[in-house]
Formats: sequence, C-alpha cells, structure tokens
Amino acid sequence: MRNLWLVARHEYRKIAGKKSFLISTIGIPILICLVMGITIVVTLTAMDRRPVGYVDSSGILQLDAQQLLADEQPRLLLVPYPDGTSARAALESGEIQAYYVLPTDYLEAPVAHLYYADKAPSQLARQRFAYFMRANLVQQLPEAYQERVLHGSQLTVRSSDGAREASSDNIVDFAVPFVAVIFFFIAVLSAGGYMFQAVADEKENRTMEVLMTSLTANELIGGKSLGLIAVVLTQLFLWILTLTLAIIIGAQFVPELQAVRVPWALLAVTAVYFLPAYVLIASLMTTVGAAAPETEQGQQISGLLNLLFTFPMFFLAIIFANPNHPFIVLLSIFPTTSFTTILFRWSFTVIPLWQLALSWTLLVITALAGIWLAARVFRLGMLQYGQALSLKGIVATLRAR
Amino acid sequence: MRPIFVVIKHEIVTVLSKRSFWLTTFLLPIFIIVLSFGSQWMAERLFADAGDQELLAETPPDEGHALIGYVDEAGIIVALPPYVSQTLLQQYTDAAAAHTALESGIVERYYIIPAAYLQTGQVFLVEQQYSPLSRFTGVDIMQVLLDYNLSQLATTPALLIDPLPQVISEAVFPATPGEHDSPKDESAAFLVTYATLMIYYIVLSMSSGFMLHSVSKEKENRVAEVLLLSLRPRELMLGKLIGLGAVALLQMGVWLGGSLLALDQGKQVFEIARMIVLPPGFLAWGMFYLLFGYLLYASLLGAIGALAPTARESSQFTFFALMPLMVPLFLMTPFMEAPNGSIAVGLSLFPLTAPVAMMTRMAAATTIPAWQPAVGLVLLALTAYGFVLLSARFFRADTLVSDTSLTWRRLLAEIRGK
Repeated sequence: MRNLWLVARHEYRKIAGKKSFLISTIGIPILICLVMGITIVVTLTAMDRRPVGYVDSSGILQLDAQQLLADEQPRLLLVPYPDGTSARAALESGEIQAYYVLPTDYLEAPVAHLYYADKAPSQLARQRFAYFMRANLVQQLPEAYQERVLHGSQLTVRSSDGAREASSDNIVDFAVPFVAVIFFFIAVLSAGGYMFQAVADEKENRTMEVLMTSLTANELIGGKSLGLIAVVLTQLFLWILTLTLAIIIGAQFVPELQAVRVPWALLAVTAVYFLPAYVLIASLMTTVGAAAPETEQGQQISGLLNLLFTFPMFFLAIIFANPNHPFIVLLSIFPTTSFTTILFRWSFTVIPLWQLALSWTLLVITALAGIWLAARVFRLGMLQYGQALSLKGIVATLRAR
Repeated sequence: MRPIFVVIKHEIVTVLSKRSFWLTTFLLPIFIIVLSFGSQWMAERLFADAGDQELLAETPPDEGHALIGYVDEAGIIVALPPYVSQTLLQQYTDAAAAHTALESGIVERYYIIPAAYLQTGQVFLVEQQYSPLSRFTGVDIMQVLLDYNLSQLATTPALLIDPLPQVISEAVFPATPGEHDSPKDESAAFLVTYATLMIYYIVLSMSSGFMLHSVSKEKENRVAEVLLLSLRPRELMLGKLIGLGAVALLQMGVWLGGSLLALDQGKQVFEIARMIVLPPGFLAWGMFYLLFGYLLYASLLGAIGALAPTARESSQFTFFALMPLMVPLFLMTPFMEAPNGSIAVGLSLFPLTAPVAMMTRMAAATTIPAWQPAVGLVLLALTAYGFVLLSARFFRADTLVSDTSLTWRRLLAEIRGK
C-alpha cells in the first residue's frame, strides 16, 4: 500500500510541480478566449458597415429610420433617397453598400428591387431593412398590438415535470454548462495523454526495470492512475476557479451573466461519469503505452484512441438540432462516447433514465475490462521487453489462463 | 552532388514505403469529408426539420399526429390560418386540464398564453420531449398563430408577417464580365474555400512535419553521426528538403487531382458541382504558393529538428512554428465574408500566413487585384530563401550530434549566431 502512495505522489509532483503544467492549465482557457475574442472582433470589423439606401415611391416608410435604429447594435444606418438616380449615384460613389426600391403599388403587388455594386449586402443589412419595413407596417395596428407584432414573443420551455426550464432570452444558461463540459473533456483527454507518457517514458528510459524490482505491476499502474487523477482534479479546480472568477467579474459588466446558476444536476451527473470514463481512457492508454515499443509509434495509436472519445465533438450541430436523434442516443450509450454525449445533451433535453442507466453500466463494465486488459498487456510487455507486441501475441496472452 | 541524390532517393523511398503515408493520403480526405460535411449535412437537414415546419406544410401531417394543446388566457387566438389544420390543435380552459392531457399522452405539448401577453410577450411551453434549443431555432407554431391573429386588424396582414416577400436583386457592377458576373452559389463558394483552406493547411503542416520527423529520427537513433562521415550537413538538409518536397507535391497532386476529378464527375450528378468556378490561373498560383510555403515551413521545422535532441522535446517549438498556418483556419469567417477586407489582404501578403491565406482568398473572392498574388509570392519566396539560409546555419555537425536540450534562450543564441 505504501508503494502505491509513493508512486501516486511521485507522479503528481512530477506533472503538477512543473512550471509548464501551470502555464498550460492557465494558458489553455486564456488562449481559447483570445482566439474567440479575436475571431469575433475580426468578424465584426470585416463586416460591411456602410449604410443601406432606399427609395420609397409607395409612401409606406414614414418613420425616421435613424431614430428607430439608433440603439441597434452593430450600427448600420438606413438612408432615404428621393429617387433612383440619386441612390444610384450614392452606390457608385461607394457611400452605400446597396439600395432598395419600393414601387408605388407595393401594398397591392409587393415586389421590391435591390441594387448592389458587386457583392450582395450582408445578412445584417437585409435583416435591418426588413425590421424597418415591419416597424412602418405595424403602424396600421392598434397601439397595444404594435410592440408585440414587431418584437414577437419570448418563449419559455419547460419539461413536463417542471424540473427544467429554458428561455429564449437566456442563452447564457446553455453556454455555461457547455463551456464547462469542454474543459472537463480536455482535462480527461490530457490525463489519458499523461498516462500514456508516464508508461512509455519509463519504459523507454529503462526506469521501469528498476521500478519492477521493488513494485508490483498493480501498484505501479494503480499509483500512476491515482496520481494522475489528482492532477486532473487540480486542473479542473483551477479552471472552475478561473471560470467562477470570470463570471463574477463579468457579471458587473454583462447583466446576462448575473442570471447564471450553478448547474447542480449537471455537476452530479459529471461526478458519476467521471471516474469510469477516466479509468477507461487511462487503462486504454496504459495498454498502448505498454504495448508500443517506441513512444512515437504509441503516440500515433493513442491519437486514434483519442478520436474514439472526441467523436461526438464532430456531431455537436446534431446534438443542438435534435438531442434525441437515434444516432445521438447510440453515441450516448457507446462506452467511449457516452461521457461526452451525455454531458452535451444534458443542457438541451431530458435524457430518459434508461439511457443513463444503460450507458453508465456499459461504461463501468468496459472500464473494468479495460483495467484487466491493461494489467495483462503490461505484464506481457514487461516479459517481452524491447520488442514490439503484435496484436496476435496480445490476443494469445489474453486467451491464456 | 551524388550524396544529395542518394539522400533525395532515400527520403522519397522511406516516406512512400510507409503504409501510414498512403493511408493518410487516401483516407484522410474521406475522413474529413465524412465528418465535417456529413455531420453538417445531417445537421442542416435536422435544423430544416426542426420546429414545426412540417406541420405548416401544405399537406397536413397524418391523422396519427399527437395534438398540440394551448391555454389562451389573453384571448388572442380567434382564427386559424388556412394553412394550419384544425385537427392539430386543442384548446383547454386552464393549465391543469392541459397538463392532465399531456400526462395522459393526448397532447405532446401545450402552450400557455398569459393574460398579460400583449404587455410582456411571455409564452410558456410545456413539453414531453424537452428540447428547448430546437424550439428556439426552428419555426414555432404558436408564434405563427399569434402573429397571424395579431396582424388580422391591419389592412395588409400578409405583409406584416413577411414585409419583403419578393426581392429582385441586381448587381450594378458585376465584378468581371463573363465567368463571375452572376453571384456565386453560397454553399458552392463555401465548399471550395473550405476545401482549399484544409488542403493547404494539411499538406503544408504534414510535409514540413515529415522534415522534422526525418531529421529528429536520425538524430535520435544516431544514424546522423554515421551519415556525417560521408556527406556535409547542408547536403543532408538539401537532400531531405528536395526529397520530401517531391513527396508533398505528390500528395498535393493526388488530393487536387482527386478533387478536380470528383468535381468533373460530380457535375453530371450534383448541381452544386456545376456552380463551382475556380479563378483563372488558380492551379498555377497554387503550385507556386505550395512550393515556397513548403520550403519555408520545412526549413523552419528542419532547423528545430536539428537543434532539439528528441522529437518530443521539439513539440512545443513546432506548435509555435506552425501557428501562423492555423491563423486563417481560425479566421475563416472574415475570409468568407470579406475576402478583400483588410484582414484577409494583410494575412495573404504576410509571408508566414500567405500560402494558406492567399489561396483561400483566391478561392473565396470573386476577383482579387492581380498585383496581390504576385507581391505575396515574391515576399513569400524571399522569406523562404531567408529561412533556408537560416536553417542551413543550424545544420551543422555539432548540432546534429549534440544532445543539448532546446530552450528559447538557446534558440535565440543560435539565431544570433553565437
């Protein structure tokens, strides 16, 4: 037992004690925020912000567009022109990016014309003009109705048991668990990477030979796993701390962030899935680390293994669109993808209990099988030191009693 | 001269005889297409079906479709639009009755329109299959009903719901007469831009990765020490650079040729393929940009390989070295939206980002000023030349056999020539 703790402590210190651990732990969230921030800024600045003109012969557009759109962000103005000639001149001189023309009989035959230089106006420009049109058209209605028709409704969706609720004006509620899940996921994957490295390194530099004289294989693998779990928890703790601080500070400036609640249910389900998911990835990585003769070759295989776990990331759009799609349900039951899929689906639907029970049971069984496999292959790897383990050899050992 | 040819031949044979090279060359594109386009296609279809679009279609859904309940405390819903089937909806007098109907499976969901709806705009939806995001992104039948009923008092109710039902667009100055005067189909443009971006990024990072791998492997297993007995370090570097460059060209040829062939064949089957138009000279520019881009990055990674004792130790430097290639990947939206905007132009002229950025712009833009690819290429070629010279300085017998670890300080000292 003492040896187990010794290995765990050594492993923890070796990774968490390094300056690079702290830098990468703090650096990853900063880098992600930076890239996202730059992308948003660049996308906004690259947008064509020149005004859109309009020529209204129908007399519908009576409101002052400038006043109506004064508070809309991002800013994009609409400018009236008395006739097509002056609008065209403004387009030719580059003052405006496009202009609409409404004919005199627009109310009877609603066909508008849109003229632009060489590039069709942006989505924002089209939306702004449609909004302006609607704001003018709602003037036909009684005052009590105008605001509703112009701005529509705010839908609040509840689950039938009343336990879950989401509102269209509070998307932040979706975003926070989502961001948390991504970080959690990075942590577990990097732990898998560390595990692989820990086994492969000691094998390559022959420390393993010395270690095996005073430790059993189980103590070594168990100790490494424990140490690495501590590393992951440290990493998660630092990230949650950063995220909480960011939300507390951000809430001073962005009022939407004040509505963020702690997703307790999501945290509970994460806690339940964390251990078996971690054990599964760590045992698979140990197997690869023990079987591959060279670190480099093992890295290629571990890259492929990572893919088994990252697979649901490619289907995020489907999880958003239809979280109960049969394919997504399949991903939530399959052991390597269940952890991520369940966590992603959590915010967007109520997952039936049978799916949770089935996926968790399968995950636990696979994780236990993973440990068994890792221990066997590790022992075989020790016996055939320095040689590449063939798949055939591994299968033969697994079959042997 | 002969040793260089031997190195070239060796590098080409080594890479081409690897199974992993052929697997990547043929399987990677399939993999990327399936994962990115397949999932996107599926998601688009799902988003199109999301919400209540099918309930509003001209042919109403089957009889078996579960009902949608509503409790209208505000008294707004008095009539149904002609395109909404009467049999779809069931009104309840209060929320308790609607909830009982939900629990017994008579309705799949129910809406509550509170009495203060006109002031607050709040509508509540309780559903059996809780999936809020698809409700928010798709068409919602209750919003359609509310809009319809509220706008009935107007003289032109249909225009209130859709103020611009028909817009005839016209480009006053089409970019260039002939090929590009019609606006490109958006999904076709996206396809070409995305494919160009990915192909350039992957070919450049992979081929320069071969260089790093090849150098550090020979350093690690000490073959370099033996090699240096019979050839000069720079001959080794030049041989590797040319040999692996040939491999990169081959890979590019397979991918580009495959894409063009697929495009040509696809024209008969897919409409989208007919809308894809590549700018004139795209292939010629593409080859030059690939060549100089390869020289630049391969010499950069080769230099790192020569200085670092093992491949693993070089990984953090490799990440930084390849970072400029990733920039256009992160900034894909501005490239699509404004290929002639200042950011896209700036990145396509800056030598380290130019190979990926310029080709992506050429694929995305209808036209780009002719001087820009030329200036970009000259700048890229000059920088690549500079990097090859710099890298040659690092390829020395002492660096190739040394085990000194690579640190930022050492790197700076080497660059300064100390």
